[in-house]
Formats: sequence, structure tokens, C-alpha cells
Amino acid sequence: MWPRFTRDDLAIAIHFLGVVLLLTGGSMIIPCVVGVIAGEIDPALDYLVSAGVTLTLGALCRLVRIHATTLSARQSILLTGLTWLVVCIVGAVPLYLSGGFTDAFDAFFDSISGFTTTGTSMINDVNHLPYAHNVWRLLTHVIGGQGIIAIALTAGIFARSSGAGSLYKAEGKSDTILPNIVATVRFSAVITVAFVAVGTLLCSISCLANGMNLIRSVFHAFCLSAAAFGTGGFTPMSTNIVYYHSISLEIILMILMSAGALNFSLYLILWRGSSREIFKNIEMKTLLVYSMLVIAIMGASFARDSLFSDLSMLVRRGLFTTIAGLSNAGFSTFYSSQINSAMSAGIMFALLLSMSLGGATGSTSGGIKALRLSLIVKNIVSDIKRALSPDTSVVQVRYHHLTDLTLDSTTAMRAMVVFLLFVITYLLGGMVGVALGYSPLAALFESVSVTSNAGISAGICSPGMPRVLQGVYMLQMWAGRLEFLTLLALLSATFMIFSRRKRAKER
Amino acid sequence: MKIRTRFITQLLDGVLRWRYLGGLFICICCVWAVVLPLPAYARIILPDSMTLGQYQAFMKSLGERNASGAVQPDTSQSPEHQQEPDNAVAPSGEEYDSAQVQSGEMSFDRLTAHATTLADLTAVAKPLDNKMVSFSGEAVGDIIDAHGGMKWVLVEDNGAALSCLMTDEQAAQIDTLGRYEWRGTWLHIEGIYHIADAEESGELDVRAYKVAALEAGRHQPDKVHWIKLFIGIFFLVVAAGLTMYYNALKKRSA
Repeated sequence: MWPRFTRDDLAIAIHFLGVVLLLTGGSMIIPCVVGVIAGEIDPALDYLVSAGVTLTLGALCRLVRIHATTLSARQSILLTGLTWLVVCIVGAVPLYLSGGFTDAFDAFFDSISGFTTTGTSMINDVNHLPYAHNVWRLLTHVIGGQGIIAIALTAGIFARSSGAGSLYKAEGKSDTILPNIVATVRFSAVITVAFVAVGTLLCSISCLANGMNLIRSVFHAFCLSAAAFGTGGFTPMSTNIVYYHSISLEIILMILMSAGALNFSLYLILWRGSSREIFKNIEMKTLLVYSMLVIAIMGASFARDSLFSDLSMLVRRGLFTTIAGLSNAGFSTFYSSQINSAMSAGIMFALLLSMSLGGATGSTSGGIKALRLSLIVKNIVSDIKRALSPDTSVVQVRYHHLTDLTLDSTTAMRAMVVFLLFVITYLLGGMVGVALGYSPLAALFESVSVTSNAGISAGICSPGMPRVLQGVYMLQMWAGRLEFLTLLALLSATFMIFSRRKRAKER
Repeated sequence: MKIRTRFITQLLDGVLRWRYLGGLFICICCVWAVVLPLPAYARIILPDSMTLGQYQAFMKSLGERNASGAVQPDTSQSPEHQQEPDNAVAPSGEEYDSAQVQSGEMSFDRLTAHATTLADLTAVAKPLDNKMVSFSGEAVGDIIDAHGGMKWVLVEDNGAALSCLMTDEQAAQIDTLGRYEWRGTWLHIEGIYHIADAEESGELDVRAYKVAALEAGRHQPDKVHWIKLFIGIFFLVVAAGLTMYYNALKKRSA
């Protein structure tokens, strides 16, 4: 029998949603203050209004249930699904008020893209965007990258309620290296701050050396570093990383993107002085082999391309975009029109492959995740071994991921299910794109990009794109970020409500 | 020191344990870096586009020529006189041929400038690749230093933006760069358009030949809607009231 969400579940979820909204509303004060400091009065007022609306909504939601202390796994899933939906809606309010979007739907798309760290944008003119709005776009990456629920856990909002583990898992996270979830999340935040601080310093120097003034250098450096480590993809300029024309900046960003795509637990193990984990970890091995495969395909495609066969193009732009794809950061040193119109299908395919897998578990990147792929491969190998072994023999598959583990059928099946769901979503999104008249490769490329929250665009995601496809992409971004579990649980619950009503009517 | 030695030992240990993967890695690297890009090596030895040195020499000769008679801007391309995109080839002049330019048989002065728009160029206009184009747009963002004393300027028109490589003197015509509340200098640019500039590692760009400032930049203050202040304060007060009410209810029921 399907478990059903009760009215009580909904009330408790809405109560905690209110608490998260209070936190979101509070975070809107940051761009408001930035706007006041930068002398951008009207944008600052946009955030005042948005903060007011969000806080009011949050306070109203809290009144639904006065006392709520416990959260079951079911309620955690409901809360996570609702949180990601409602926070994306309220996050779109200041973006819409900015006047930079054609309509509210485009602003909502950008909000989802920001919170899910996808990085594709519908904005009409990012080059004239005030600092306040740029800061908010960046904040959506930071909040979404760390996890809205995870930040709420860090802030101690759910401290007195049980169910932190369920919340953490419902948001698509799994590894907990420290004794409790809150400590793990706090450690992730510390790692992020450290990387972003060092990245900002180095990128600032690079921007200054390129002739940019100090304030703009620091601002751009901070935006780029936070987006790179958070594997986001929003940039303060419309031409993405092409704008900076700086090899040094590209190298720094490549390091930051790679660091953001690794499991944060690895940093703690390294901190404790055990560097052997890097070489033993199955996920690291998979990432390395997969990267080499993608780079080899990329290299072969570049060499055969009529326009991009120069070695410097391959080493500089090819490598950067591949790492951006592998880490799901979504930065690009190509124009989207170049990817779609000027490049060979081989280069596009290599980029598509790079985006489809994503980084490591416990990182900010999306996609299938390297661990799942390695578990599936291990399971296939063990099946072959079992088939070749005598009936009485027992084949045990062991692997190392943070600790020595034995692969059981449940873990392998879970990995396979998520893998299949990702692949089906990639294909479904691609089919919708093809049905709307886009070329199959471009449609599949964009579908993979949004589902894996990478954000490298082949030019389909732009203002004026078909609304149906925009809606499908929004759903894909949301489902991909939460790794389907939450979405499917919510859909099944909604289906159960409808089927129950139908049955009641029939009686 | 002890930690460092331990780290190196562990590193070596890892590499040794990975001897098969390491071998595979080296093989793929060799194929990727040496064998596959052989056509690229051939292209580097025999370049078919204008090199940076040739471009700088050309810009120098242009500077000398401008000293005797400055380039007159075409005011019909100013934002007030925007025309529909016209990709028609001018009746006179020659098409750009990099081989002829390098050999000195062709002069940039006699090249046909294809009047176009930034929207067309950023959408990858294959027929215009490696050809002289003319367009206009607003200088936005920052002036980025390029190699050889050149500058990168981002030019934008109707949401389409493209990087243009120009000399320091040409970039000096920009008095304002477009940002929030600032409209940048409106430029008219003639230059060679590249879909994948081999000199810039495959960048979509224009190497400017003529740059003229059609309209100076100006401050465009954003209108402040003070009603937002009242709406914002109203909602904040409501939120504060609801929170106090919640706390009161919680205290009462405790």
C-alpha cells in the first residue's frame, strides 16, 4: 500500500516551510544593503518589497501549526519539495521587479536556474544589471549549492526537531563524515568559505592585471569564485568567461570548479592527513577515467573540426569547457551560438557526455554522480563473475568510498534506478525539444544541461523560447537537483489524493 | 617535513598501485596531445589567417594614414538612425582574402565592409567569417588589456554582445562604459569578423580596423519608485506583527 500524506503531514511541512521562508526573506536584506551602498536605490527597494513579502508569507505559514517538533521521513520529503518550489517562487519576485525579464515566467526560470545551480538565464540585459541583482543571482547559487534545507540545518532552525537525516537525504545529499548532519553541513560551509575566499583573492589579482579597476575586480572575482566552487554558472557579464580574455583566470576557475565537484568529505579526510583516500576512493577513480574518456573524444573531435582544429583552441577552450561540463559549473569560453552552429557534432557530443555524469556525491554538482556509475559497473562485473563461477560460490564485491564497503543488491539497485531516471529525463527533455523543431543533438544537449544542472547552453535557453519547453526545463532542473526522489514522492502523493477523491465520488 | 614526506610516499604508493590506470592515462594523453591534433600542428606551421604581428603592422600603417586624414564616422549608424540589418555587399571594393593581405597584394582600404548587426554576428554568421564587417553598438563593461598593447572592448546592441579587439588609441575614444544607469559610448566599428579566431584560441570576435565614436556616453538615472518603500515597510510590519502573534500563541499553549 502506498503511504499517504495526511493533513497533519502537510501542516507540519508548511510550518517548517515558514521557518525556511523567514531565512530566505532575511537573506534578501544582503542585496538590499548592497544596493544602498552602491547607490542603487530602486533595486534596493525591490529587495525591501521582496523581503517583506517573503517574511510575511513565512510568518503566515508558521501559524498553520504552533508546535512542531518532529519530522518523519515522509514529512521531510514533503517539506523539501515544497521548500524548493516556494523558495524559487519568492526568489523570482526581486528578479521580476528588476524589469530585466520579459515576464514573471522568465524570472521564475532564472530563479530555479539559480537555486538549482544550473546557470542558464533568460535575462535580457545582464551587462547593465545593478550590483544588487547580481548579488542576489549569486546568492541563489550559494544557497542552492549548499542546499536550502542544509543551510536551515546549519542555522539551527531544525535543531530541536528530529529528522535531520531525512531532510538531508531528501535534498539529494548522502555522505555524512562527521558524527551528525549539522556538523557535516557546517564543515561544508567552512570549506566553501575557504575556497571562495582564496579564489576571490586570486581572481581579483587576475582581473586587476587585465586592467579592470579594483572594485569591479573584487566584485567580479567574488561572483566568479562563488559560482565556480558552487558549480553554478551565472556570471556578471553576458559573454560568460569569454569576457575576461584571461588564461590565468581560466586556470583558477578550472581549479575551483574541480574542487567544487569533489566530495566535501574528502577534504576532511585530507585535513586529517590521510591522502591515500584520493587514490583509493572508487568515485575519484571513476571521475578520472571518465574525464580521460571525455577529453579523448573532445581532442579527437577538435582535431577533425574544420574551424576549431588549432591546438591552442583544444588546450585552452576545449579543456576549460570540458571541466566546466564535468563539474556541472556551466561556465563557457564559447558563445552558445558557436557550440550550436559552428562546432562539429563530435565536440557537442563530448560536451554532452561531460555534463551528463556530473561530479562526486557530497559535492555541489548535479548529474548522475560518479559513485552511481562506478557501482553500476561493479555490479555488472560481479554479475559476469557470478555467471562464470560455480553455483556454490559466493561472489562478494567490495569497494572503497570513504570507508571499505561491500556492494549489496539494494545499493546497486538504487544507483541503477537514479541512473535510469536521469537517462529517461535526458531523453524525454530532448524529445520535447525535437518536437518543437530543434535539432536532435541541440535538444538533447540542452536537456542534459538543464537536468544535470550544468547550464552550458546550445542557444535554446534564451528569451523567447517556447513556453512549453521552458516549463519542461524548469521541471527537469528541479527534479535533477533533488535527484527525483522528492519529485516522485510528491507526484505519487498528489496522484493518491486524486485517486482517493475519485473513488469517494464513485461511492 | 614529516607530513610532506608521508604525503609524497602515499602519492607514489598510489601511482604504483594504479600502474594500469596510470599507463592508460599516459596513453590517452599521448593520443590526445600528439596524434589527434596533427592537422592542428600543420595549421600552426602554415597559418592561413593574419597573425598578430601582421595585424599590429597593419594598425601601425593605419595610424600613419589617419594622421594625414582622420576616419570620418558614419553618423547614419547612430542609435537615432538605426537601419534594418543590411547584409548586401557594397557595389565596389574587394572581398577579404587573408593570403592576399599577407602578401601585400590587397589593401584593407579597398575591402568591402558588410553592413550588419551584432545580433547577426553573435548568431554565427558563417558567410561573413574572415570578412570585413561594419556594425554599431554600445561599449559596455570594462576595457580589458590584451596582448601587444591591444584592448578588448565588449560592444552590445539589443542584448547581443561581441568582443572587439582594438588599439589603445581606438579604445581611447570611449568616454563611458555601459553599466547600470550608464549608457556607454556608441561606437561604429569596421573590422574582420572571425567565427573562431585562431590567434585568440577560437574566440568569436572582430578585429577592429576603424573605430568611431558616434555618440558620447551619458548618465541615465533609474527612476526611483518610492511606493515600493511604503509597500516594503508595510509587509515588514505585517510580518513582525504575525511573528509576535505566533510567539504569543506558542507561549499561551506551552
